[in-house]
Amino acid sequence: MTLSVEVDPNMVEITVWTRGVTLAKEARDVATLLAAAGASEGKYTQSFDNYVDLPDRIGVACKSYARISPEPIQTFYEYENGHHDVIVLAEETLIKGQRYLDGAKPECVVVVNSAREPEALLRWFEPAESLPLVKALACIDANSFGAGVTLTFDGTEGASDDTKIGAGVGAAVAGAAAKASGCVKLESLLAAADNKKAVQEGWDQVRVLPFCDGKPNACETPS
Amino acid sequence: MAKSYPEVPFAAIVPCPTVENDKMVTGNWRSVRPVVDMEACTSCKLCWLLCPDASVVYDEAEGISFNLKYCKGCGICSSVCPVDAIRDVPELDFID
Repeated sequence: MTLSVEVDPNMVEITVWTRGVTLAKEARDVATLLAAAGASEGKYTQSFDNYVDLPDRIGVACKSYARISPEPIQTFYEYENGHHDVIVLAEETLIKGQRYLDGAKPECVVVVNSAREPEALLRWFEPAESLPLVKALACIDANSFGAGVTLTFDGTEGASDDTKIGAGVGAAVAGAAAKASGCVKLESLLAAADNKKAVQEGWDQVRVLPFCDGKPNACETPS
Repeated sequence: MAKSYPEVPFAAIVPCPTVENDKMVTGNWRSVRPVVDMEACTSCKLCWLLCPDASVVYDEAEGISFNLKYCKGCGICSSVCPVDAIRDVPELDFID
């Protein structure tokens, strides 16, 4: 395996965790939206699903990926993200029992689709020894903004999609991820998504808990 | 003389595992956890019968319980319970 961090040092790797079948479409929307927004800003992007996870099993933890780079992306043949800048959990219980922090880059941002407060989710971080790599934990109650498209069997192989990109929960999650990580601009994300209201609400209502040396709010930033 | 092989059972059917399959742990697929109200439970064992992953455990003394290492939280047990003794509780309401 080549090291994408050496080939593409400035590439932002976004890994979206989700549940097989029931929420797979929403995670694919998050990855697709962030990549489409990045492309409209003139950056080079890729977005794709992970098939190693066998995502056709209902409820299984699986991943979708996006890559955004200011230079042409040289990482062609790696079909999994290994060095995450942004980790999105499209469903809150994924925070428990999955090793989503494995391979995280320093200063990575974790975004969770949850109505709970970020502080309440801290105890489940996996693996806990990777916590010093986290710059911020953000929570967004996307289920309350983006209801509608949660279960679809359309376009699961990527050939076509009748349900539009970013019509459901994924739009609000993408808005929250964009604000918490700064990987794309709000305007380009709004242009890409079908449900623009959900993107805006995700952007506005995300609750971000900053970290310092693995502890929340440990050091004040000089103003 | 033809080479002889160990006898393969009919249609290559092998004994089924009688204990857990450690190579296929599915407990972390779960987003809701079944919780049984022992006062309401009549031990009809419908959940035990219909659980697709054999994750419902029945014991005459203890009654119904769940093997959470394999329970995927599919909700069939709570759906089929005739006395509504099983609830689906969000997984993050539990620390473990």
